[in-house]
Amino acid sequence: MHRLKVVKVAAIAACLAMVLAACGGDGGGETPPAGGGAQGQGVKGGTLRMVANADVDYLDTADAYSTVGFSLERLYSRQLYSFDSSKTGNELNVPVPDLADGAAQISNDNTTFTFKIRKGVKWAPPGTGEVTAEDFVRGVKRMYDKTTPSGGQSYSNLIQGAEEFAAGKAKEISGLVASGDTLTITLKKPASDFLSILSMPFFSPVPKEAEKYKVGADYSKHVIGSGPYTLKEYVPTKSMEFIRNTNWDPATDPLRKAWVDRVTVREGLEPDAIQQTIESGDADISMDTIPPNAALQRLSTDPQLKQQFSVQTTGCTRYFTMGTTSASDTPQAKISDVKVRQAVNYALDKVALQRARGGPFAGDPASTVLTPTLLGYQKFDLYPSADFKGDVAKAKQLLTEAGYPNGITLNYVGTNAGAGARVNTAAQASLQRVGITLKQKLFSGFALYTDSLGLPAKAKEHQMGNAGWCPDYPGDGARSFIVPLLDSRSIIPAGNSNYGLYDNADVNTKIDQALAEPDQAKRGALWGEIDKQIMEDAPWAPYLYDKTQFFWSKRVKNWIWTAWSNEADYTAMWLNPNTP
Amino acid sequence: MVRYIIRRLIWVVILLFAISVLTFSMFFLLPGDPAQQSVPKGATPETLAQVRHRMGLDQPVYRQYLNFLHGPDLVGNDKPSGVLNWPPNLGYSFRNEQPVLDTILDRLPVTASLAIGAAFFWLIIGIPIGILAALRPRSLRDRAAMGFALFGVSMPVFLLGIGLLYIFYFKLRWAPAPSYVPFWENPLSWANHLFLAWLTIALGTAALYTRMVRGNMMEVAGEDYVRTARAKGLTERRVVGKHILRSSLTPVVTMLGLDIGTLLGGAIVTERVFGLPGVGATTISAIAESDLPVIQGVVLFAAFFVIMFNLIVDVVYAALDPRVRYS
Amino acid sequence: MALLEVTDLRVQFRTDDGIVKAVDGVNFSLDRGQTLGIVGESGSGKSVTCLSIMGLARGGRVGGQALFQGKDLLKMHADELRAVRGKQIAMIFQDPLSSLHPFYKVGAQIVEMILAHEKMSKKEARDRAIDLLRLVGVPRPDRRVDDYPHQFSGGMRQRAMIAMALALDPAVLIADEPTTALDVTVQAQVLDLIERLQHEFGTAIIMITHDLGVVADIADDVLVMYGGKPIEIADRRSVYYQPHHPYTWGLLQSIPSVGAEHTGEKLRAIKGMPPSLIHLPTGCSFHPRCPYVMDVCKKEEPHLLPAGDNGAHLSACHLSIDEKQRIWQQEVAPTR
Repeated sequence: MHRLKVVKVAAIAACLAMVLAACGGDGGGETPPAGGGAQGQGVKGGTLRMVANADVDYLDTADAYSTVGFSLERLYSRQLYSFDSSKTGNELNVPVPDLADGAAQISNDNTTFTFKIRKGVKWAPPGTGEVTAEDFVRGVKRMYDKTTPSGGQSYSNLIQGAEEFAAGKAKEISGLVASGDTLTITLKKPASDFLSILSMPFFSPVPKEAEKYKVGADYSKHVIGSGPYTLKEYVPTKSMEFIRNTNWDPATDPLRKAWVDRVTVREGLEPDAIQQTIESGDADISMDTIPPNAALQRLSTDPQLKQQFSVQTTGCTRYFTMGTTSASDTPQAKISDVKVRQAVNYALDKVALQRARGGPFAGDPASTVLTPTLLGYQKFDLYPSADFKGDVAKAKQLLTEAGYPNGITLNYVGTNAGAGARVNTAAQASLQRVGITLKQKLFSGFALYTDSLGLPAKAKEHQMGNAGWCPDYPGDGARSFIVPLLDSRSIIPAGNSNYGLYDNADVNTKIDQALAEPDQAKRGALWGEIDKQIMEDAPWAPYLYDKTQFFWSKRVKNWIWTAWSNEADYTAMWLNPNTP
Repeated sequence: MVRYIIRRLIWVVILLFAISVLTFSMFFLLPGDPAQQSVPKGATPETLAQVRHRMGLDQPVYRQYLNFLHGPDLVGNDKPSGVLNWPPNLGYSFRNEQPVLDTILDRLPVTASLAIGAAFFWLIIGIPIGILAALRPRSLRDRAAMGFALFGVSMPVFLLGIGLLYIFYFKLRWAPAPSYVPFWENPLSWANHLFLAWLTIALGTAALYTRMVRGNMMEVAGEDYVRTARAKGLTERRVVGKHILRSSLTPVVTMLGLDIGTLLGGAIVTERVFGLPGVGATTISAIAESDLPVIQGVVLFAAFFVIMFNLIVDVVYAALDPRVRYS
Repeated sequence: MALLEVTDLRVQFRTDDGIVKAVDGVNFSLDRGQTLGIVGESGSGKSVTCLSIMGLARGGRVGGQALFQGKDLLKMHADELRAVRGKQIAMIFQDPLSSLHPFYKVGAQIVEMILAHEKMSKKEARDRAIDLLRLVGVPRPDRRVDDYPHQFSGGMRQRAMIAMALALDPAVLIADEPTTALDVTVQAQVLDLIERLQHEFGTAIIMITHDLGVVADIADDVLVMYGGKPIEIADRRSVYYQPHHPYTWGLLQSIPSVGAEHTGEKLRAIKGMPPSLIHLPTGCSFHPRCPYVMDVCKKEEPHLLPAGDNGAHLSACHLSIDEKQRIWQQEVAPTR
C-alpha cells in the first residue's frame, strides 16, 4: 500500500506523524474496541463538522489512495463488497456484499467471479438512473487514465486483459464483462483475497456523467455519489461539503446508517487549533490529524474526555529494512550475511524505539512481518530478549561469528525530522552497544523513498533503512503487504518497495500458494509459515506495531473504528445534540 | 510627476520579469521531480513520461519559461494561458485543476482583510504610544513604551497567536473558533473572527512603529524649524501637532505602504495558526504538496504587490514632501 | 527704563563630561530703536545668551535676570512667555532653509504666526503676509507666498524670515548670525534691509555675529564675548577706534582687507583654539592665546572695568589702561 500517506499529511503538523498509544505497558487494549458499537438509538440530523490540517489526495475513487481518501469515500461511494462496521473482531475484517445482490458466485478454480448488481441503487443528482454493471467497467477503465494513473492498477492488473487494455492493445478489458445486471470478472490467476480487493474504493462504480470530467483532480471536484451522500462542493486546500444523496434508499444499503444530514470539512488548521476546536465543541472530528502529544495523557485519563478518545492498532508496521544481497555489501560490511542481520534484530532496544515514536501510545514492540489486523498473524519472536530491550550478548556473538568481532559500520538512511529523526538516534544508541555504528544519511520526507530506498541502484547506500508500511486492506491484506515488500518478483528499478532486494524462491512459491488458497484457515496457516520463514532470513528488523489515537467532540456518538480505512466509519456515527 | 510614474512603471515591469525568471529557474535547481511526486508508486516509466508531458516538464527549460509567459491552453477554454495573456495566468495547478490566479483570487479577500485590519490596529496602537513616549523622554511612560516595543519585536508571531488563541478562545471562550467569515456575510462576525489574528500581527508591528515614531519625533524636536516655531510663540500643542508630527509621520507612511504590500503576499504564520484560508495558507499547502505552479504563482503575485506598493509609497511620499516633488 | 535689561545672566548645561558654563555673567541693556551687536567666536556663548532670554535654551539651567519692559522673562509662565515670543521679541536664525518647515508654504508659516497672536481672518493674515514679503523686497509676493522654502534662493529665504519676524511689529528683533550662510553680496543687501526696517519701525535689534565687519555699520553698542564671558563692552566707535582688549585687537586684525595695497598679505588669525567651556583656563580665559600675557593673567580672573575714555566702555583685562593704549596705537592699529 501507500507508505503511511497519513504520515505525509501530518508531517507538516510538526513531528506528530503516527504517535499512537496503548494505555499501560501491554497496550491496554483498544478503547473502544474496533467495530461493534451501539445500534438503534441513533439520532438523525445535524452537520458533522470536520477540521483538517492538509488536503485529501483525491476524491475521485479511481485515484484516492490514502487513509483520508478511503475514509471520506465511505460517505459517497459503494462497492461490490464492503465492510460492515457493526461486526466485531476478525469478522470485521471480512467483506460482505454491498452493491452485489447476494454473495458472489465463484468458479471452482477461483478465477471467475459473477455478481448480480443490486437493484434500486440510484445515483445522486446530477447523476441519473441506477447503478449498473457497466458503471463498474467504467470505473476500472478510468484507473488506466494516461495522465492520472491509479495506484490501484497493481490490483486491477489481476483481471484478464487489463494490461493489454492499459497498453492500448485492446479497447475493452476482456476479463471484465457487463451484461444486463450481471458483472463477470475473470482473473489471470486465482486470487483468494479478490473480494477484499474489490472492497477497496478503486473498484467503485462511476456514472456516465463523470465522463465529461478529467480523471483525478478534476472529477474530484465533481464526484457523484452512489452512497448516502454526494459531493456538493470541494475547494482544494480549503473546504469540502457533502450533502445527502436525495436518491439514496436506505433499504438498499444495510451497511450504512447515515445519521447526519451533512458533512463539512474546513482545511488549513494547525493541530493545536484542531484539538482546541474539537475540545470546545466548535468542530466534531479531525479529518487527518491526531491529538497533539502533550494532550494524550489528559485525554486518556480525564473521565469525560476519555469517552471521546480512542487508541487503535492500525495494522501498520515500522521496521528497519536491510540489504540481503551482495549488491548491498561494502568492503567494511557484508550486510548480505544473515548473521549480521540477525545480530541487528537481537541488538535493538525496541522499548527505546517505542519511546522515540511517542511511547506506549505510539505502538507495541514488533517482532513479526505480519501485523495484528492481517490473517495469519501470530505472536512469535525469533530474536527474543528480556522486555524487548535487546540481547547484547547474543548480538555480539553473532557478529563475531560473522567475522566482525570488533563491530561493523553500516550505511543507514532515514528521515531528518520529527519522530523519524528520534528513531534514528535511538537506533544508533541501541546498536552502538554491540559495536554496530550507523553512518547516517538523512532525507526530507518522501525523498527518503524516491531518492534512496526505492532505487535498487543505491543498495550500498541503504544497507539499513528506517521504513514503515500499511496494508491496503485488513484480513486478507497480506498481498498488499508481503508481495510488494518481500517478493523478489516485485523488484523494479525505480519506486521499488522490496528495499533489501530480498529474494527467496521458496517464499515466492509459498506466496503464490497462499494467494490462491480458497480455504481461509489454510491460507492463514500458509501466511504464518511465510512470516516465520522470512524472519529466519531476517531481511527486516521490525520494531513497532503502529497505533493511532483519535479524539472527537462530545456530541459525536457511536464512533466506530475500522481497519478498512484506518479511520472511523463516518456513516455509523450520529450527533447528539444534532444541531448545528 | 507623470513622467516619474511612467519611468517607475517601466521598472516595475522589468523587475517582475527578472523575478519571474528567478523563481522559475530556482525550481529547476531544487531536488525532487513534480511528475514523480504526482504518480502513484510503481507507475510504469511510460505513465511517468505521459504525466511529464501533460505537465510540460519534458520540454527544455527556456521553452517551459516561454510557455509560462504565453503558453498553451491548459485551462480548457481554447485560449492561450500565460502570464502575458488576459486574464494573466500565473500558472496552472494540476493538483487543484485550476489556474493559479483563480486560487489566489479566491484566497485574496481573506489576506486583504487580515492586512487592512491589522494595519488599522497597529497604527492606532503604535503611533500614539510612540508619540506619548517621545513627548516625555526618559520618563516612566517612555520606558514603559520602550518595554512594550521590545516585547512586541521579540515575540514570535506563532507563539503570540497560539497563546492568544489558547487564552481567549480555549480557556475564556471570549473569541470564536478560528475560522473566516466573509465580510459581506456578516461584518460584525467577520471582525469578531479576525480580531485575535489582527492583534497577533498588530502587536508585533506596532512595536516597530512605536520605535520609529518615537525616534523620529525626538530627532525632529531638535530641528531648527521647531525652534523657529517656538520662537514664533506658537502653543506647544501646535508645535508638536503641526510641526513635529508632520515631519515625524511622513516616513511612517512609507513604512505603512511597504508593510501592507508585504502582508498582501500572505501572512503565512498567522493564517495557519488561525485557520484562515488566505494566500499564505495556500502557499504552505502548495509547498507541502510540492505544487510548483502555485508556489511560483504566489511568489510572483507577492512580488507584484511589494513592488507596486513600493511605487505607490514613493508617489505618496512625493505628495507629502514638497522637496522630493520638485527634484 | 531700558526696554531690555539683562543682569548677570548665567546658563549651564549638564553633560556626561561635566557642567558646561555656556554663559557666565553677561550684562547688557537695550533701548528702543537701539542696536546691540554681540560678537564672538563659535562657542563664546553669544547665541545661547539670546536663546535663553527667549526661553529656547533646551535643557539649560538659567540664572540671572532679563527684564523686558520691567518683567523678568526668565521667571514668566509658559503662556506669558509665549505671548511675548514673536509678538514682542522676534528672532531670526542663521540658516533660513533649516529654520523654516520644509513641508509648509512660506506664506502659511507667516500666517500661522500672525494668527497665533492676533485675531483676524485667514484672508487678512494672508494679505498681511503678502505685504510683508513685498516690504522685504521679495518680487511677485502674491505668487511667492505659496511657494515652499526650498523654492527660494538663500537671500530671498532670509528676507522671508525677516518678513515673518517683523510681521507683528515686535519691539525687539534678535538676529542670530543672519548673514553667515549667505554670499557676501547678498549679505550686504540683507543687512541693508535690516537697517532700513529698523529706521521704519523703530525696532531694537540684537545682532549676533562672529564678524566684526558685520556690526561695523549697524550697531550702536558692541558686546564682545569670549568663553561665555563678556570681555569688552563699548559703543561702536570705541570698539573700532579704541579697543582695549587683546582679543578685540585680534578680531579686528583678522578681518580680511581688500585692495591693491593689501595683496600679498597673509591673513592674520588669532593663534590657538577657543577654550573648552567645561574646563576653562585658570585666571583669564584668554591667557593661553594672548600675545601680551602676564603672570597675573594666569592666576586672577580680570573683572570688567572702565577703559578710561568714557564710562560706558568696559574691558576685562589685567593690562593697564596706558599699556593698552600704547599697544593699540603702536602695534595693532598700523596693521589695520
